[in-house]
Amino acid sequence: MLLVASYIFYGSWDWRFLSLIILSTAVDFTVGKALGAPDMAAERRKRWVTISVVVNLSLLGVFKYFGFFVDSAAVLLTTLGLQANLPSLHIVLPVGISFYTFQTMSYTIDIYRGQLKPTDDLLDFALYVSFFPQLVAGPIERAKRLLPQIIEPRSATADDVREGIYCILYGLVMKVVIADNMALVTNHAFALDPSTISGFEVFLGVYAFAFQVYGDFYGYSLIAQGTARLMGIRLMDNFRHPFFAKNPQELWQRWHISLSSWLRDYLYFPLGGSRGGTAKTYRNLMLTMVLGGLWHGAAWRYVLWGTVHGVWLAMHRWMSQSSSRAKDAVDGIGATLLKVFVTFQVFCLALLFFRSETLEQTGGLLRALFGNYAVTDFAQLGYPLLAFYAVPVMAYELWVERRGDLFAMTKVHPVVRACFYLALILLLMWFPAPMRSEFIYFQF
Amino acid sequence: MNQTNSRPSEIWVILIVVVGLVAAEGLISLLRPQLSGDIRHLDESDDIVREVVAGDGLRVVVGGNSLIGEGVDGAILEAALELTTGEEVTVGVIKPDGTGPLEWDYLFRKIMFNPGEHPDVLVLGFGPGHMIDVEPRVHLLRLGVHHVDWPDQGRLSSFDGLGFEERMTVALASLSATFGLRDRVSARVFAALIPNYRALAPILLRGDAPERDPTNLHTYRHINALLDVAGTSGVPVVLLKMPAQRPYEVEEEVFALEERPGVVVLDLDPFPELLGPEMYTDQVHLDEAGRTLFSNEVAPELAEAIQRAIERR
Repeated sequence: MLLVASYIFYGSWDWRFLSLIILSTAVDFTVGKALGAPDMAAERRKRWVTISVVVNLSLLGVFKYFGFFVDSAAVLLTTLGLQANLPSLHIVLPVGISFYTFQTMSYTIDIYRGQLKPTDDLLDFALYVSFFPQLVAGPIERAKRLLPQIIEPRSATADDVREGIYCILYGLVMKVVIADNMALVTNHAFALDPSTISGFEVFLGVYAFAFQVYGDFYGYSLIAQGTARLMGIRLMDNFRHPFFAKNPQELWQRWHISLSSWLRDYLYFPLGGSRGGTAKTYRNLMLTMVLGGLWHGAAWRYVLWGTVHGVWLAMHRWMSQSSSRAKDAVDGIGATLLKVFVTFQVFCLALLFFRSETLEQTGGLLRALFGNYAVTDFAQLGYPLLAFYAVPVMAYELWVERRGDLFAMTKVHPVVRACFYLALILLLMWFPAPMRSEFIYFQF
Repeated sequence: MNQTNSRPSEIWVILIVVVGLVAAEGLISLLRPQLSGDIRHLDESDDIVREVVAGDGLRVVVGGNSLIGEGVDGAILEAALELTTGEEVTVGVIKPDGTGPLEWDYLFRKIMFNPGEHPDVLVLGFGPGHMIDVEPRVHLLRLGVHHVDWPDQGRLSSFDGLGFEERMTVALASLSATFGLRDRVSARVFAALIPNYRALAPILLRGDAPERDPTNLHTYRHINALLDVAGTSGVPVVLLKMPAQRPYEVEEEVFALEERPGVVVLDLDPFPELLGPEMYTDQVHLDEAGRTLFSNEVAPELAEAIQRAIERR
């Protein structure tokens, strides 16, 4: 019944997309069963897992990246003075394709690595692929975690219900109050003329966008987690207070954890990780982050964003290795705050690449950072609004961070919890944005 | 915490949340008149109509939005009309901010056209692009709180094409002050925390002129529907073009409304000459001096228009 509901949920966007998710499910179930055969030769096992990877990446390649590659090739050919009569396909991007293809590939790859036994039940596997709370925008689950929960009989305990309600309520506030209100500020900032925008407005735009994308994506992840918990299923945590990260490595252990860990386990480590010497390590870091950026969208700005993060990670690694004694000498609350501040600033500035519509706009906004810093009407309005929404979220998350438990609020005195829930409900009633915004990660 | 112990504590959580929401509802209802002068005015609007209906002589309701609120002084207009006509006149002004034909259609048919309880004439003031229909979904809360009753739910669907979610928003706004007045609450909070918030807030919202506003539907269904019910009730209507800092055109569709029985469109071109730019606080709203001057000077033409509307009824 859950499988039918998941297919109905997914098909309600566009029933044609169901064929793709069913294809991916059928291929990977078959590959998984084949890989489970005993005493199969290594070469044959490799061929089977290659089928899974090729099919899933082909789905992505055709439906998500075909137009991008064709357009980029056309630009290159034209630049070289050659004629560019390349085919074009106007394909609608299937919702969630970036998420479920990665999720099914992890199943076959884990079986290939001997870390997982394949399931014999097609329906259970189909539900693992299409489980509706996390189908369209993650978290990207691993079969080792999710499949046993689907296979085993389950029921929601009182803890599941309590934590599920907390997740849904807090997730709604993050999306409806934080993300959608910050979207207004972001959209206005990025609509300003880059040639006249003030530096304060650029920073306002990226700070607002940081909280918009955090509220949007974290909010969705929480709602997905909460919904699943009400059905007795635990999805992985996708965010862990990323704005408290002290360096880029820690940032990616706290931000979009399901994607960053997937890239680490299925791309970075197979490339060699940090085992092949310094140059190869940096190459692997760059490749992983560039492809991670490309995962977000078929556009050069995402590639650039990934590149910025790759360079940042590489620089951090180099600095960590070359100055470990200096690093030890600069611990303490002041140093921690400085590191958190710097990490947040670099993360936000990198978002310029992510959010800008064109490279020209990115360039213009970067130049504006070295231009005037007039305190405009927009800055006078936007910064207090940003503080109004961001400061309470950060204060609450600092409290949770210090408790070391993402569900700390569900374990406090009932009166305190009730007051917190009351505050969330009143925030939802009184401070939703005048205009709603789509979930950002639905476009990926 | 084991499951047996957690159940009573969760019941307490739910109880406290419910009590808190009820308390918030009570508090907002209590503070409702303090949230804005516009709310107080809307709450008094049916009393205003009742006072006019109970008045002597020619009973005139002047309706509109802030253009009327800032542009017409009811007492001065009343005296000027009495001077002009030589008769007793009773004038009441209903001028909820930010409203247009959508809200007037629902509000006025509720309070102004009941049999035996209606004024002798309705004067409806308008400004640039104000007669155009707008998307109802941008005004759902205010519709629910101030203008729409439960019997109007069907009309929201059949006439305005509102979907289930939008009608539920309107219904919830009519039932809950906490929900329905949330834009006023948030505006109050921000105005208290952010200097100059009310002047700056439009930066983030659509600030285009109504004729360029993408929520405009470029139809005139609501003003026509309002004139239908006025006509059925036997109430003549004068559509009064309000002055602005610069002259502006009125759409042909508005002038065409004069073809209806009992409707007169009053377009006073000389007014921009009488009212200098210094008499405006912005492009369309008059200051106190402008309001006094306009309320006095409009009386002769308005009286003549009222007479024509009554004769054409």
